[in-house]
Amino acid sequence: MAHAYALPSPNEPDDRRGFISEAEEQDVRTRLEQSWEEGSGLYAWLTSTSHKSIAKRYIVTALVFFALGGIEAAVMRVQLSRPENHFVGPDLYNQIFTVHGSTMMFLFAVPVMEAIGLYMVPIMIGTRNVAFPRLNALGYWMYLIGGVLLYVAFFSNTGPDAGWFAYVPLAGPAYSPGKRIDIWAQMITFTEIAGLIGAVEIITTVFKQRAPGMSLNRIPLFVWSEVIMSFMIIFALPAIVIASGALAADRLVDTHFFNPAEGGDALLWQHLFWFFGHPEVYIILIPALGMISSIVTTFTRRSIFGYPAMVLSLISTAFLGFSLWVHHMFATPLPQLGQSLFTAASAAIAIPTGIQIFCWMATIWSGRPRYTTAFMFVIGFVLLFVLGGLSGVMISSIPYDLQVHDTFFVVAHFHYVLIGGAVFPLWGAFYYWFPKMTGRLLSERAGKWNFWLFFAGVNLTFFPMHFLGLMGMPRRVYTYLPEMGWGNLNLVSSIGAVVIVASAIVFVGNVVVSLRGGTPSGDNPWGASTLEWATPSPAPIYNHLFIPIVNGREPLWTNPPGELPVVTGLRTDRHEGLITSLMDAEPEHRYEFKQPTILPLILALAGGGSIIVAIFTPWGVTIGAALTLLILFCWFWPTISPDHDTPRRHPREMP
Amino acid sequence: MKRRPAFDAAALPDQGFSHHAPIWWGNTLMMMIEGAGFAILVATYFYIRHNFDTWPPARTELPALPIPTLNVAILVVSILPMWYVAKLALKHDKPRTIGGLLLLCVVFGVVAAVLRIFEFKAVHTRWDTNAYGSIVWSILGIHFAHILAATLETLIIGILMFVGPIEEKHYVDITVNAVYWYFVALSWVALYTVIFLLPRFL
Repeated sequence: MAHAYALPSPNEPDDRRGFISEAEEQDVRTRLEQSWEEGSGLYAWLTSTSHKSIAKRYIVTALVFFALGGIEAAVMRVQLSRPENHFVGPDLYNQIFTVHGSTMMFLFAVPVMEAIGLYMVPIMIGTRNVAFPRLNALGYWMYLIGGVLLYVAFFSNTGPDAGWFAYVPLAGPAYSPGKRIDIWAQMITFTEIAGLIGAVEIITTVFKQRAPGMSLNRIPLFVWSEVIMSFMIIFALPAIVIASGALAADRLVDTHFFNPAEGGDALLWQHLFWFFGHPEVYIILIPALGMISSIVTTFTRRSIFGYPAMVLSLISTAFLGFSLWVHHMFATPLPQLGQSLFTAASAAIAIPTGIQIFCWMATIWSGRPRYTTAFMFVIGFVLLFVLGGLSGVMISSIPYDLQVHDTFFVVAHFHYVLIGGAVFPLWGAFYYWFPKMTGRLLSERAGKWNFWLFFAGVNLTFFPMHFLGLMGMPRRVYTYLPEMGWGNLNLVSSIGAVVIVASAIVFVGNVVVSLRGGTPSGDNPWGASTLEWATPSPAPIYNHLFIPIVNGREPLWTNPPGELPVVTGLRTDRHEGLITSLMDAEPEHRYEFKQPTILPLILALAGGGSIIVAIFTPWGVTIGAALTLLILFCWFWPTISPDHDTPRRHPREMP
Repeated sequence: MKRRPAFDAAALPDQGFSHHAPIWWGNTLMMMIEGAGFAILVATYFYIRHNFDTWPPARTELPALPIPTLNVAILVVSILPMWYVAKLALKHDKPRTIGGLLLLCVVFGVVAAVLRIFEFKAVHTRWDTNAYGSIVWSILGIHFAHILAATLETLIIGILMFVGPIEEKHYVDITVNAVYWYFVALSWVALYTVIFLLPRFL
């Protein structure tokens, strides 16, 4: 049972009796700014440990990679728009589809989902920063280096070309000499480190830094979804770390993990990759489901229907997500009994997903929906995701899967699931949270254009691919003969890609124009219920002037209007936050966040540099280990608070 | 927005031990990540084993027992001083006592690291001999990195206890470092069993 904190009585006359006076608030604001502001200039930018500035970089970087991946997709659509086209050759085409897939999965989808969490979660749970601010910065730098590595290689004609899942033996030393696959393997290493760091940050922050009163059953569903995603990352990513490490070792130091001649095994790669790769899909999907719950709650103006069912569905989706990986391997000679189990698990995942869809429908049905752009994207999600889900249930059946394996049917399926399931909610989230990040509203009119063009473009591009797949068109072919009869549908698909590009241009234009001249949003433009809307837009660097206290699942709706119970007494002369208990969020102790430092960047450069050197000589690992240990020594060496050993009265928020 | 003070945090302590501390969770999650990694390595080990008629493969001797067994014993015994030092840290005992015990643990760590070098010889295979060699060397090597990391961390805190200045939070760090040490030591009991004992019985 969560502790009930004193609520202001609604009958009290409307003055500031019993409340913190404006003069006091201003005083606290000034002192918090003094101790938290990181200053301006390049050095301050490089050393920043503010979760918001790091997450903002993450989001912008991920969107740049999304644009690059989109350009690659557009080039592929140009190439496939008619039979025997010679826009790009086979070798470049191989690189393009590999880099496209790798970019979208490793450099866009997972990072952007974590980045939105790293930005919004601390504000939504009412804390001042993530638990380990320096580690957070390190995560971003590692990710950036990994992404830049891939693109530098790609632009110098060394882009990986064995597909985004790099199956051996094609990706092994015998069939892929040169450095292309090594680049891929090391890019994976970078993004996995970054992903794991983000997961640790999110879980620790949510477990220990929630506002008092935010017991487990009052956590916003988006925050739940970020926590569940993070746990999936923690159990799934080690598999790919080991796998890509083993692949790199096979290629660089002659180990034999995947070499059948010396007792290695090509299928081992598929197991290890998909043990990560299938949960990866849910790592991308689950936060998107959380975004939908936030948007649906706000724009129907009611609490979500079936909150416990929603949370349990998310958790069971995560569990089931770990028992599906073999359905990517139905075309391999695995025991039939095992395959049947994975069929059952694949079909079973429709149950928790279905529960959530019905809960949202019930919420919308019984609420008062407002059809804003964010909400439209949610509706778009439901339509596209149900379509992708249906083709998913089809290919969970082994005989059917064998027919369409490695055809465009599968391409259609996973683009419906990923674009419908992740990109649509993400875009809804952009429209929803953009005002909180920038203080400006995006244009709703341009937003509607953005939505309809995107919705039409996605269907036009990917729906014909179902038929192409059934007609036998394999994926990853750089061209096809006119006699195959695939030309018209491919042309339709390519026209759809043009429409998607148009919608992307509308979005970028909307962002650019709104950043300069958009309507100022105020604290809570949507009349939403969660804590991120109880602070100015954009949120100040310390997030909340006082740590808020919550008494319900929708605090801003259940508090008397315009009132907020808060915590006082935290120190203002250092980066101090409040630690609360795991279950009921009872205050436990105070906590000092680390100060900004250049060390994360140096560590990323040293560690990153040696990972890249390791592509060429194993000594990179040795040098890197030595450098890393040295820098970690500096990192762990304590910085002493200025007031160490001088027991005196510290300035606090309130006397 | 009018704010009403409803809870005064001024009287709360500066630190909490065990699962009250964020760093304890950070460490726990790190152990989960690495534990998952070890589990994947063990799964890979047994997967590769399917490809061989005999295990270890023909013309490869069984891994030698004396040095590896000595080392696993050393790692297990090293838990005792570490456990004791964590207990002292909880009571905020004298920094020099704690520092001395930490440096003793460092000695254990260094000995384990040196013995590990001989363990690479004890498996009678090389990383590039065949897939058996690859996986065995990987497990030895990845765990080696853990010994080094845990020893270095212990060394830093140990030195700090002598040169100061010491803050309340360093006592929390000592207890969390101890938990990581247990993880490194006990995970080796499992991995040692897989590499050195099971081929004899299974």
